[in-house]
Amino acid sequence: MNHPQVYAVFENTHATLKAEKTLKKGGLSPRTAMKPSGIGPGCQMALTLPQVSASLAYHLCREQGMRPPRFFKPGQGGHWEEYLDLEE
Amino acid sequence: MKKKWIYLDNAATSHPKPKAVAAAMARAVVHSAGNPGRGFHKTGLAATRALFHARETISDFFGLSHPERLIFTRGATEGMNLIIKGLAPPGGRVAISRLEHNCVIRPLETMKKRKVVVEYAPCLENGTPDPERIPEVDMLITTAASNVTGALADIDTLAEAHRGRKSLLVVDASQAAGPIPMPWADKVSAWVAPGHKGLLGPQGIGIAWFAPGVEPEPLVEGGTGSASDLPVTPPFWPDRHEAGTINTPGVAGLLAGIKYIAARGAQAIREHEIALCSMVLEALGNHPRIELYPPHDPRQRGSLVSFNVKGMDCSQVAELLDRKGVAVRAGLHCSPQAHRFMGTFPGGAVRVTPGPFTTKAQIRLFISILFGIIGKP
Repeated sequence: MNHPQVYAVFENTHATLKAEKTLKKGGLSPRTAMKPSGIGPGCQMALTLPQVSASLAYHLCREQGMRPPRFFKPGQGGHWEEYLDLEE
Repeated sequence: MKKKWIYLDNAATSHPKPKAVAAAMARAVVHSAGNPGRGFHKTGLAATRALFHARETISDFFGLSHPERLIFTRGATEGMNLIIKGLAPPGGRVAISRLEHNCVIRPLETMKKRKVVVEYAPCLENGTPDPERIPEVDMLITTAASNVTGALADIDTLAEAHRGRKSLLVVDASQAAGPIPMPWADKVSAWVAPGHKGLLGPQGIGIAWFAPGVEPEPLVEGGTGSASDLPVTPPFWPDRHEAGTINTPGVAGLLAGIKYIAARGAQAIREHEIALCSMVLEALGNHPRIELYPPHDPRQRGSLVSFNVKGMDCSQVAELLDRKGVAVRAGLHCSPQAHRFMGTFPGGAVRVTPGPFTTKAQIRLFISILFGIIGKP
């Protein structure tokens, strides 16, 4: 079964790889990916993970004192929408 | 027959390197040859991961809690330029020890044009800043271990005494990083180290670390692979101070050098070097023609012994040793202020610096060759 995926976008590759390490320690299985250019400028590397894991990923990053990522999901017409449905 | 070579110039650059250093550099060139942070095809990603792993591992080695604030430089000189030119406020005051290298002296000389006032800090007998008399300045710079006298600064006590002050405490760890413990590494404002000396890496790579809240202006600006839409250098670390392509083979070699130190044990290397310096100090100290310079206790100095032979120019001694297969360094060692302090300016001195791979047999042979040149005591 394919879960909808989101891209977790960080400010640079160091933050991305630090987050990857943090999320793996937290039990998630993020994958590094080239960030679609439609998401916007910034770091070209991103993490992909199931949309249902976005809130946990957000909190795991915050717990580590990291600036949490922004999440993006495919929207209408090939555009990307920021995924903001994060549980506090 | 190939002549045996005794290399005693490890303070200039360590030699030989652990075998793993060249191997790691070759692997980096072949297997992670992409540009880190730029392009995430397999080889670009491999380079990015290698750089991340190196930064984290090296930070762990030094006990640093913010790996992103450890940046890779071309060497200690570049790091010190970043610190001085990026942090010394125009019109501000900078105090230095009596033993600073030209990597400190020359950027400060430039900063005098920006009305920065440079002065000597009140120092102990060994030329390092007195923790009980820290001056009220914007920045205090000290070497952790002099490249001329070998004197060690008590950075731990300095950092403790400096705590709570608004000024910056900056350390040049060029002759300390590697065998000499740096428990103060995350207690000072910033420090620099070359990769190619005590850390046993290759030339052309170094590190600089900055405490949280210490934000120098970038020394070099350009592409970082991040925030590429912006015309300005991004504010986040390490990108802010790593514009341009990183020397990834150099980083790989540096990491291999540090792993070697961690495996052999920094303390074990330190004890080995103390034993070698003790041999040199004892033998040379008993020779009437040789003038040795303090500190005389090998535990109070880095792996370094400076001396002069009465009636001989230091360069002549070094040249005669070289002819016999012994590599030492003579002159001012890019540290004229330290030689002034030691009383050896402008003539300089002969500097002998054993390293982790120097053997006791080599030290004995060096002493024998030296006495063959200048006469036995």
